[in-house]
Amino acid sequence: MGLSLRVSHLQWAFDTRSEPFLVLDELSVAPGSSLAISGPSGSGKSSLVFVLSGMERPRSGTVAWGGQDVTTLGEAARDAWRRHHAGLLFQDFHLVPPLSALENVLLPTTFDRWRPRSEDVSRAYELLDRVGIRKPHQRAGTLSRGEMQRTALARALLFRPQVLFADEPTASLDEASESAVADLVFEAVEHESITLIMTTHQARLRDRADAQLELSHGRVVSGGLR
Amino acid sequence: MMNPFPLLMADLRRSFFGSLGILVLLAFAFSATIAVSLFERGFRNAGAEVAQDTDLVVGAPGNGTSLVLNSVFLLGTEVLPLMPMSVFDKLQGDPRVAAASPLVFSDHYQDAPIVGVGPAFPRLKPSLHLAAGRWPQAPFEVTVGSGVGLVLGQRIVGAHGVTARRGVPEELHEAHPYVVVGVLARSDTPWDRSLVTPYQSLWLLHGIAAAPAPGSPQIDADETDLRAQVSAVLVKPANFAAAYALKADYAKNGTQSAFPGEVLAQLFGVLADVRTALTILSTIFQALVFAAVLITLIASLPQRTRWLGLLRGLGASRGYVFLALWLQSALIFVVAGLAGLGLGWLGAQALGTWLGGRLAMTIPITWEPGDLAVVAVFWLLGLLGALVPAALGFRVSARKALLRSD
Repeated sequence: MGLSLRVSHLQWAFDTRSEPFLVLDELSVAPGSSLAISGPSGSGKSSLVFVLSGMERPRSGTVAWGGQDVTTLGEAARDAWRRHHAGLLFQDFHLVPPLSALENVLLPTTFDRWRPRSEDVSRAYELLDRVGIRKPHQRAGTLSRGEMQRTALARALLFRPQVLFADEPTASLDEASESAVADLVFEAVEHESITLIMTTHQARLRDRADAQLELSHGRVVSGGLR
Repeated sequence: MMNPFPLLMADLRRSFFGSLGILVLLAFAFSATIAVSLFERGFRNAGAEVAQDTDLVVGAPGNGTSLVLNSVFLLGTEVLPLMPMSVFDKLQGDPRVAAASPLVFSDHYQDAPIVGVGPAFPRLKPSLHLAAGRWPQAPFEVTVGSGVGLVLGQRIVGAHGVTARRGVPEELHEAHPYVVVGVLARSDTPWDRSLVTPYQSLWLLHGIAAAPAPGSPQIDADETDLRAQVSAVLVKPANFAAAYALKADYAKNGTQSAFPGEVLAQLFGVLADVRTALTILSTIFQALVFAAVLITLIASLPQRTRWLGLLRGLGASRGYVFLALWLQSALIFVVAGLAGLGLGWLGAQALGTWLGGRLAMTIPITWEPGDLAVVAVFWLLGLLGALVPAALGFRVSARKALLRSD
């Protein structure tokens, strides 16, 4: 089951000396629902994802996932939280080209295991099959862009995350791939009841989310649960 | 337990030629130190092995080093000045002398010197053993070293001159061929590529003594005339004190004397200085290569920054990132150390084979525990150096890395 999100009085800045770039007074996302964050380039979409996922620590405010405020955790604990509770999907896929699709999906298992567990390997094969990758041993560098993003989705889903962060997941894809990947993302979050936090500037994708938040210059322009 | 190997191997595959270039550069830089060390030790051991049989050499006044190099190493670098046979007679009759043999160098067969010796020669060279036949007893009998390539009963013709001279026609002694009566076992000394004959053979060939009557088994030294001369005399003193007394006595009055070991020690001293100089040079070279490699590894960090961001984004700890980066550089240093050992050994072997061939002796290239200490220091420095790119990558911000546009 996905985690709920409650954000309050959030302020984040690029460094300790500069003015807060991102200001968000209140935000709530229900477990298993989806939130699309949109806005022009430089509006703070990706920065908000970094803060919500615990990669960046805010200057002030709380980010509570299922009641746990991740801003109070140390860096190692936030890394562990992300490893165990979150999946990440990036605009540029961020696959390791010399590794196969399967090895890319299993990459997170190497963070705390010498060899992946057999259930992880089975899950990886199953996910690759589910996202339509028929040659799991093909080098990631030789996959099409659509296949790369589908492999990245399989990787994000490996540990059955309760939250999926997707930063412009279809922005680098052609129209056909965009639609296929979007379908797979929404199928996955519905199938596994994952809470989805997604940035996008594509209206088709944004409109499929349960809630929308529009940012401009780090401030909320409009948004709320639909 | 974390396992960054799949990732670092993937990165090495991605940058295969760059990593290989770094590895080869490091390996060659390191191999120079190893090669110099192995070769110098091998050469020293080989020299000591060759000289161990010879306690004292007496010759005509001149260059002591040349006397030893020509009479012990049979280098034939120059014609030794001759001294009267009476010096040998006097030594032979000296109660302080256990054994003595004249050495006469004047002829050669192909690339091998024909060395005229006395009957006591086998006692003076206990490390030389017969593989077949016997030692020569009569003029124009010859016992050959294992590397000469002759067999018992074969007849050969010597040529004039201590060594063959390129471009100069050979002056053959065709009237007086030699017959092979013995073959020496391999000794890994210059004697492997020499022919040993009674010194009278060479005297007869050069008109110093009358030719023996047909059927005469042996020529007595008394039959020689006053012009009889020898190149050097090998001496086995009766005891330690006698050795020094003889050395002092024969260092004057128209002779010079030398302990081969002492001369070799001086030569090895020079060789050690050369080794030190080469080691310093190769160490400087290594340091420069080391610095260049570290700079390259640091400069290549931006290419890996996106991966580092990905790892951090997926929840990898900073420790994992640090370990992955450190292991990647460390692996290059470890493999380069091993490759350097191999290349150094090959280099020393090649040098040993080349110089050993020229000196007609075997230069053994062997490992000693100290060599492992050298590679251990190289590895230690490499592993420490690898901390630098790892520490820099460790500090990379996930947000900045993931937002990179390249």
